[in-house]
Formats: sequence, structure tokens, C-alpha cells
Amino acid sequence: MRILPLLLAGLLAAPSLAAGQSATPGAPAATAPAATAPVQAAAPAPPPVEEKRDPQFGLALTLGVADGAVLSFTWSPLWWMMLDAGFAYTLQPGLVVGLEFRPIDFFVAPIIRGEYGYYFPGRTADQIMKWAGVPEAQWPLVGSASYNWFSGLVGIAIGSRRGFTAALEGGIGLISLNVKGGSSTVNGAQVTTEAWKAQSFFPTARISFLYFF
Amino acid sequence: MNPIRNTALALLALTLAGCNTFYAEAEQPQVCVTLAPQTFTITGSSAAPVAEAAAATTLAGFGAQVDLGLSSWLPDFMTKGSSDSRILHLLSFSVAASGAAGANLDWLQSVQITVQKGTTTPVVLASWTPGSGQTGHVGPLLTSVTVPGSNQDLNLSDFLSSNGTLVTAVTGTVDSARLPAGSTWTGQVGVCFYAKIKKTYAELINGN
Repeated sequence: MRILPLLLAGLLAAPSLAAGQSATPGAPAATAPAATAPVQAAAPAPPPVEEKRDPQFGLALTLGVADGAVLSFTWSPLWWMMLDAGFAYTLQPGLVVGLEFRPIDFFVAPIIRGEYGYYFPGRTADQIMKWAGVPEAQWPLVGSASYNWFSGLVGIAIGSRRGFTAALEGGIGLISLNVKGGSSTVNGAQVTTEAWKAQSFFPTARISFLYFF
Repeated sequence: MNPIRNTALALLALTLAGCNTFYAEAEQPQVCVTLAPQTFTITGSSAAPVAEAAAATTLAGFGAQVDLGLSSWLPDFMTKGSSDSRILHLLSFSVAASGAAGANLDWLQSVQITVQKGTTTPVVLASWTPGSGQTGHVGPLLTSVTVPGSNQDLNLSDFLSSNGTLVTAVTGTVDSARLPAGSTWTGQVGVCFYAKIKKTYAELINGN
């Protein structure tokens, strides 16, 4: 755990602290020169121990719902906080940004995460119509669609904060599908639709692999 | 107690609870349908005064049943299943002159659209009379009439048949003296709807 390096640093620093105390002003002047000279010669102060800074930048690969596949760059300004932004792809290319907290620095650590994603307009609606079995005659009524979502997740990370970690997270999200309208002749009638919107409050999950360098 | 069984039961309960919490909804602010020209049959005539003209006019009735096959124009999930989770409102109704060039509706004295399911009492969705304001003029002649739905709180989902059809009737009166010769007239009917549906994941999984 993170406390171990601090204990080691304390033990290493103990002799130099003792030496410093012996040279404190106010000690008897008559004994000082004779007593301190041999100590200083025998135990020179070790160089100050610097805690090695955790790596700040990483690269992550994520697979999830509604993320799709995401390749993201991670920045960790504090050891317990990470910001990431990445390129994503499901039915269309998109962007995902996230804020993540890992409050415990251990081999197994909990995760609290919030993220936002946006996918550009494109073939999303076509795929959804295929899956939903919408008759082809109605397809022109549904134009290109983009979607975005917010989600909150909790999970667990396994691995080293200073190297490779794998994380599994689950949570809830709100996804919005924004669809352009269209016009078509369907069964002898002229049908025109305005732009419309669909929303879903849904369960979300993701698995990610992160490497700090 | 078996902790594994308890955990499994808890997860199952959580999943089932989640299926009733998670939902999907879709909202279509406006879908407009212009039907193929409809033929209306003149059903009779009677002399009656027309208030605005302050002159005797011979009125004749007309009517036709117009089946709006919404399932043809909207995805099935918006027209089928329980009406509890669906909202369908009539935004507007229109009728336009069709046929030869110069065709107009100057002889139209009133028009209304009603909806009915089975043998229930018909409900008026929209109606128009001259001077009620909702008209579409091209030049001096009345070529089309557009009327906003007069009962926009009415959920038309309750009137949908099992195959997703809304059975409506378009009726009204004409000034038979000004009506072009014939016992029928032809007009183009248009309707605009607002539609919204919200279903839980449990309902989607069960196909309700």
C-alpha cells in the first residue's frame, strides 16, 4: 500500500534527524566540539529521500455498453483521480470523456466513474431499424441519427497504479437518440416526420485495460 | 442459510427490479400524413339558412369513412400493445380540393372528423365552419381547410384497432347549389399527429 514507502522513508531519515538534533543550538558549549566532531565524520547525512512521482499519463482500451470500443488517453493529476478522453466507435465514430476516482491505492481498488459520450450522425438509425424490424418502406421517414449519453459507474480495478490495470465497471446511464425526420410515400399516403428523439434509462457496463507509462 | 443461494436470489431480485426501473421512450413531435384523394358521397339535401350570407342555401350532407392505417406509417411499437404507455394526439386535420385545375372548396359549409372504436359513440376530433378562421386560401377561392385538433387531450391510442388502424369519419355539409355537378366530390385529407411511447425494459422483454 501507499503507506509502506512512507515508513521506509521515515526509517532511512531517522539517523540524520538524530544528527541534526545533536547540533541544536543551546547545547552545552564545552562538550559540543569534542562530542560532535567524531559523529559527523562517522555518519554523513544521507541524501534526502524523494518519493517517486506516480506516472501521470496512460493509454486505455475499453469495451462497453454504450461506449462501444474506445481508445482513450488518460491523465492523472492526482494519484486518486483520472481524466480521460478517447475516440470511440460503435455504429458510428464518437468521443467519450470520463472522470474517475480510485480512492485506494492497492492491487485491488474500487472505482467511481462518470462519463459522457457522443456519437456523430450516421448509420445508427439504419441499424436500429434493421434490428427493430421496421419495414423498409418506412426507412426514409427516419433520417440520420446521433446519440449521446451520461453514465455513472462503480467497479473494481486490479493491477498496479504504476503500470497495468484491468477494470470492470457497471452502472446506470441515460442515453438520447436524436433522429432527423424524413418524407416518403408509404402505402399510397405521403408521410412526413419531424425530427424526433428517443431516450432510455439503461444499465451500463464496461471493461477496460489501462497502462500508465 | 445458503449464502450463494441468497446472493443469487438478491441478484435476480435486483435484475427484475431494474427491468421495471429501466425504460425506453420515444417522442415524435409531428408526423403528417396526406392520404390519397378520398371520394365523398353527397347524402341528401335540405334548405337551410346560412347565417353569414343571410340567404337561403340548399345544404347537402356528405361523409366517408377514412381508415388511418397508422401501423403503416409508424413503427409497430408505437401503434400496438397496451395504450397505457402510448400517447397519440391529433394535431391538425386538413382537407384540400383535388381534381381539375381551379378546383376549390367554396361550396363547403362545414366539415368535421370523428373517431370511433367499435360501436362506441363517435368523438369529434376537429371541426370547421366558414369564418372559424382556420382556412387556407389561394387567391379568392377556398382551396383547403386546416383545423387544429379540438380535443388534443384525447389519447387516440385508446381508439386504435388491434391492427393499428384508426377508424375515422369525415362528414360535413355543402352548398349543393354551388357544388359542381355530381353526387360525389373528391378531396385530399391530411392529418398530423403527435406520438409518444414509454415502456419499461420488462414490458419490452415481455413484448407488451
